[in-house]
Amino acid sequence: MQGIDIQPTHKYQGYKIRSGRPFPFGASVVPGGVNFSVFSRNANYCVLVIFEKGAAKPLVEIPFRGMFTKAFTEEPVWGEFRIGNVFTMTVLGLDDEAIEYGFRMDNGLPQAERGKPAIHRFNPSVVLLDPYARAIGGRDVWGRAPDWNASFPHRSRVVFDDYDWEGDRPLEIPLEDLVIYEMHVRGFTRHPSSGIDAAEAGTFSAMREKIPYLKELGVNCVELMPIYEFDEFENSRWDEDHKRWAKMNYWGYSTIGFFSPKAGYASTGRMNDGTMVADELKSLVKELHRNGIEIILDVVFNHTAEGNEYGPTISYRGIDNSTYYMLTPEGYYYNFSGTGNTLNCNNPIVRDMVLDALRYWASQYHIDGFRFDLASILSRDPWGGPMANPPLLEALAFDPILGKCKLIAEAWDAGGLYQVGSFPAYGRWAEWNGKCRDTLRRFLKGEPGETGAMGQAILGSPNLYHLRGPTASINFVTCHDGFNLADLVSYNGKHNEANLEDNRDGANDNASWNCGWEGPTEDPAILALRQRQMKNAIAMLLVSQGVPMILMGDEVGQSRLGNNNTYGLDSEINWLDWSLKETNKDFHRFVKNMIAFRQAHPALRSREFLHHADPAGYGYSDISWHGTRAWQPDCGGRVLAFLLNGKYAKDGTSRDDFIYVAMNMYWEALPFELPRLPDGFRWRVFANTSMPSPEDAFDPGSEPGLADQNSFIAGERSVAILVGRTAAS
Amino acid sequence: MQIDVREDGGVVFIEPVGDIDGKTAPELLDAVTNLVKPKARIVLNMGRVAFMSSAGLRSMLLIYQQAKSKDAKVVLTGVNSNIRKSMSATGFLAFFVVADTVQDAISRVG
Repeated sequence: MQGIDIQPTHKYQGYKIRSGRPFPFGASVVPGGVNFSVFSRNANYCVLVIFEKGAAKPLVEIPFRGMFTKAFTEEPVWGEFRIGNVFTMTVLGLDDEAIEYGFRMDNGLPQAERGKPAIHRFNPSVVLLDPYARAIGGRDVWGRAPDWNASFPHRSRVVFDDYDWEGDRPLEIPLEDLVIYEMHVRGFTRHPSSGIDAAEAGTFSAMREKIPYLKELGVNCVELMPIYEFDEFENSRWDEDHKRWAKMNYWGYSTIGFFSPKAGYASTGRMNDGTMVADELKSLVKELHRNGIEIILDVVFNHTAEGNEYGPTISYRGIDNSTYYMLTPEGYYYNFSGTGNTLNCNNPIVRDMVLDALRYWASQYHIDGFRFDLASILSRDPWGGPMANPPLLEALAFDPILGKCKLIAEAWDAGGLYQVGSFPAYGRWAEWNGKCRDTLRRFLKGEPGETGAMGQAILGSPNLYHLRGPTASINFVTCHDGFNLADLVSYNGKHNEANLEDNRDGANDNASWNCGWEGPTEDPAILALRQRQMKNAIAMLLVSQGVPMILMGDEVGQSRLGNNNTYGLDSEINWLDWSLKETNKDFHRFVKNMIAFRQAHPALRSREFLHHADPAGYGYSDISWHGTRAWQPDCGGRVLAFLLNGKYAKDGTSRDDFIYVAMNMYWEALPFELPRLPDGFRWRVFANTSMPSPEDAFDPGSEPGLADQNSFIAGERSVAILVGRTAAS
Repeated sequence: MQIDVREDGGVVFIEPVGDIDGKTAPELLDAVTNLVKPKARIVLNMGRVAFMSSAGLRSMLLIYQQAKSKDAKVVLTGVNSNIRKSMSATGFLAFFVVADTVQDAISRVG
């Protein structure tokens, strides 16, 4: 039955309207029309501006307060469509998919000047993007040059939320069982070698086509670098000599709208239809889930694309500058993000917006988890000070809708906060473990004295997370920031000239080692060593407790030519080269088998820390440490070995083999005395990185037995992984 | 919107003419709903539809769902490449049997 409030009360230039509903914020399709709702605490005047899609001039501008006519007569009548600090009206009879909209806001004060500090930045000459826009037009096809002079470049659109999920739900895979693949939507299929049609390459639907590749690799979670609407042309630079963009905002760590997928990542973006973009992404999520793969979004809530005092007014600053941003008392933008401004995330309004956005992604897009860029900013108060009990982080941790979502913090910011191990976690948050990354790298390159730290990394970093468990630790050797794996073993220093910042950008402390020559070489000995070092890194990562993350491209050993900060390069350097799967097939096979090994062995995936104890009296503790001599770890050297007792797998709830790992980062081969197994058990070799493929890693379950059950020669700079089980099994 | 309907040999042929968007999708849905009888065999010929919006995609899915609930069968034909691409990218295509020719559609509708 139709509701009794479907009739309009007012009319404005032929458009029939009535007072709206404040919740939900944004534009929602309601019976008979579209409901608009926008917050501003400091604006006292607001106008709804409606455009036909793509039109330069508005169809109509309807004020939220003023003289109207009655809906069914021409009698003048006063109207005000506002509840508290929320402007809200329903416009009836709108063709919701044919329009775009925005707002003008004012508070009657003199306007702030560009480049000058100001508390408020109202400017009624600007049409503002809705902070709750669920689709945003204006950058509909990646890289298609926009009209630079457009007065309303980023346009809010209306979205139908309905979608046939066919019973799909988030997968809720236990965190300790994940193998995360960090990837870039465009970079995944943009390379011509992907075999995807040029018109579809680099999109959500192209990614959907390539899910079998992920499935074959064995990862069960993808973490997408930012997919919220951003402007790839932000700070872009055109190269006239080569007729191409020398620099773009390729990574996308600069959000325009927190509720909208990046239209340019959808092959349907060209249709200028926000709902299709949403459908395309949902269809990707559904298909990932069908294949047992979770999807985590890398979300950027620490700043927006509006920059500092000189930046453009797109939305937030024109809607309520002092609510959305952290400001100095004079009205300058605090810059804890290193990008010009800082979102005021512990303001109650902004906190609610962050929550609303994440709930929207979790419920409408079935997103399995979120990785928060520069998450330490989310623990700062409105004046920039870090809080012991930040309300936003607490709210996220306890939110009912996000209750099963993975929450992962990049636990530092550009303002000097470094909270790895101390991020306010509320029993829920995991962290990108930057310390573990550094330890793995230093141990890998053969720095002495790292065995103690390496032992902590193997355990999932109880030194950092003793009350939280190994699932607090997202382990990685490489991520989008810094060297990728091939470059970690090929370069001592960064080579970032292509970023057009005179090699000043990017990290200087890479803990990398070029294996004897800087960059590309034909030297077979160096190439072999690099190959082995890459295998060593992957092996160490995948036998460590905690949650491993692999960077897209590393599974095929793709180089980025020594560039450790490729944020601005929309080029082959960042696009996954699919031909490398064949060129480097041995390495790809190694990675695949290592992932399969991890998934086959619950002993590697504990939810609680191992205790170096044997409470059940099996004769072997859950983990024991060894060196070249069994039961005697070499402290301070370059050698570490450990033994896992499979009877304690998954905190004793699962059964597994014995697993023995010997890591020899010394430059000569060393004999390792093997721990003695119980009667009837035999050592078998799963992996030995000093062997050529395919003997570098066997298919899990088909490991050959070891002739010498008492000792094992681990080659120079190599990792060996043995499994101990009974002859019959 | 103009919607041509005819029946031939137990198969209902429905042929909408023009764009299917927020304005016309409800009309198409109304018209087709009446034709989806239990166990009906329907060929939906899209040969004279140049453009389909997301509202159009939804009306197609609703038709499919109605047909399924009544044990009826719908086969699409004449889908132009643009619409096919949108349907494929958004996942809607996976719900449908799509035939290249009307003849093929007739044989696949059973």
